[in-house]
Amino acid sequence: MMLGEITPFIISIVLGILFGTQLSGKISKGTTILVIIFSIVGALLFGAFMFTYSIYGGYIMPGLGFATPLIGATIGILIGKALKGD
Amino acid sequence: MDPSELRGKRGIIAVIALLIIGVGLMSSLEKLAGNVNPGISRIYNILAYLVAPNNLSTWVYDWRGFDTLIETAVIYVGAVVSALVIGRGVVQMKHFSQEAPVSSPPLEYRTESLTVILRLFGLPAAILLLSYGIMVVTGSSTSGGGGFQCGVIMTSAYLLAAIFYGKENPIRFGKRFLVGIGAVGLGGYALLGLPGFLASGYWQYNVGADVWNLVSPTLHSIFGDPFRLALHLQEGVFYSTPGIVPLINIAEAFNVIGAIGLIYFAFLYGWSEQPEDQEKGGK
Repeated sequence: MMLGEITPFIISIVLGILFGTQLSGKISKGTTILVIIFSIVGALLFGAFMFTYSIYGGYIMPGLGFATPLIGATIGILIGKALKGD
Repeated sequence: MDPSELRGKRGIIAVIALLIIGVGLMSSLEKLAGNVNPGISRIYNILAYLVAPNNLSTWVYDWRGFDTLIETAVIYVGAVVSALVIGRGVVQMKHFSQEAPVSSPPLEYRTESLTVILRLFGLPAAILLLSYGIMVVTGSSTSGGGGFQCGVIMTSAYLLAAIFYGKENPIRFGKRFLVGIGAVGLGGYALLGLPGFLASGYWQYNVGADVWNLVSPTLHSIFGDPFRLALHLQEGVFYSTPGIVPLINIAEAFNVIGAIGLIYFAFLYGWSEQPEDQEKGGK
């Protein structure tokens, strides 16, 4: 696996945390689960970027690919929100 | 802005940064004399695919770096000027300090006017839009994404949440955050040219891709390896890296988020003299 496939995922988490700290209010458990599920479905629909095989997808099953930065960004946003608090 | 604010450390840093950037740009422009071919040059077609897998990204940043840098500056300055015109109070001009700053009436928080779908899915949609924006910028060197697109998507999420929730906007990009992120983006874009200038004499030379073999292997590795990909093509397997292009895209995204976010912020909430903790996000 090339480093270029992992770096965008790491960057997406960092950027997610940065913007997650700008969220206010309370995010319910239901909303959190909804957002994670939607981002996984979205990542599957977008597919892996060109010339990448995605961390969890293509190496396991050819043709299956996830846009991992989308999932990473969502996780990062939720982490950023959790760090900031309500 | 009071010129006296530029005295001290900030002023010295600003002057030094401007001098370095100015010397670098002028020096690079001087070296371009006689080396520019109009239109899509033969050299571009030979080398472009070596720089970044995405030709659009290659075109915009590696081959039109100066042009895009100036565009970036224009966007940021335009946004700040728009905020000045709309809000007045942002730089605390003496003439206007006696008058009340122009501000829009506060937006009401009326969730009862929202449909069930919007009330339940408004916040998730805004969060997912933020995620999508981040995904677009991280995939800029391999897909049809980039800094501009990311900035527009992220600020769309901000506007969407503002329309849904009014002054209770869950995405609270305060003016300090927006000004800061825009400045970091613009400064980051400009300074990413420094390694190339120091190593090759050309401002914004892509030290990560290094198609002309001008930089040391260490510098090439530092900026190139983190984004290196294996390109499995019919002709064989090639190892290519976009170099500094992804970093420039992130800087560009920050700049656009700051610029467009500032305009939205000023339009929606107006500027005031209140401390930010009292008005952040329009409160």
